[in-house]
Amino acid sequence: MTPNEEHELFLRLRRGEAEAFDALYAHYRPRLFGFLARLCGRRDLAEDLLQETWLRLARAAPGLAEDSRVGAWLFAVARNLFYSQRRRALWERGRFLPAPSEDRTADGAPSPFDLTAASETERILESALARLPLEAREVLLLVAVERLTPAEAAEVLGVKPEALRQRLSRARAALGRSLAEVRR
Amino acid sequence: MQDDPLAVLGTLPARDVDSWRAEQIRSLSQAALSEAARPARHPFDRFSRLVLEPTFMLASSAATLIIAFQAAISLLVD
Repeated sequence: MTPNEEHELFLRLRRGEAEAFDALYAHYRPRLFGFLARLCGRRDLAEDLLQETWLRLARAAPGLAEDSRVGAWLFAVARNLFYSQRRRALWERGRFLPAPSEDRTADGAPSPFDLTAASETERILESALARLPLEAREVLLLVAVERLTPAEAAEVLGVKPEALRQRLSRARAALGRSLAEVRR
Repeated sequence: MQDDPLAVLGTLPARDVDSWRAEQIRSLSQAALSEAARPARHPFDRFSRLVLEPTFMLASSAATLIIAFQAAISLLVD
């Protein structure tokens, strides 16, 4: 789907056209699900967040600005929903347990896709990603896995392009270390 | 495996939810879209209900009062 086709679909979605929603849904659903599942490390939670993301788009579409980029909008909402859920979970856990020592969601936990990895290479990659701190994982998922443009990724993360470049550089180094650990 | 870890990540396969779950989410979202796209009440309706109608009622009561007062005065003068 080209950016122009996507924008045309978005404009039709703003007018409430069901077919436009279906086309965007078919295009972005697997990408958003992969992003959310790899970000939060759980399939069930990723499905719930995915549903809430699409419901938000459906409710907000008629009121969105005409020049909105629907792809970036979807990833930004999915990411915000994940962080809201995570804050709630940490707050609830903090009432009973000490706070986690590091900013990781799935600290060394297997990726939700480890078991379904078709090859050893794929399993190593999924595992290395799952071990990364959130800040590194999210930027890699957006730029390297989902292939968002740097401008779109910066919009999703709410940072300037220069900050994105720095974050990506740190994430790339962290991934290299993580891959080396997993291969050992 | 390639040397550039970023390029390697691009080879990860797409993932998806089960088809029944995908359909469930689609159906819920379509219902929400249909609700959101329904034409809202015209803004003038709200203005009319909150401002024009009470103003008219007040003016009409005041006019009735004035007419009654004038009638009473004219009776007294006569």
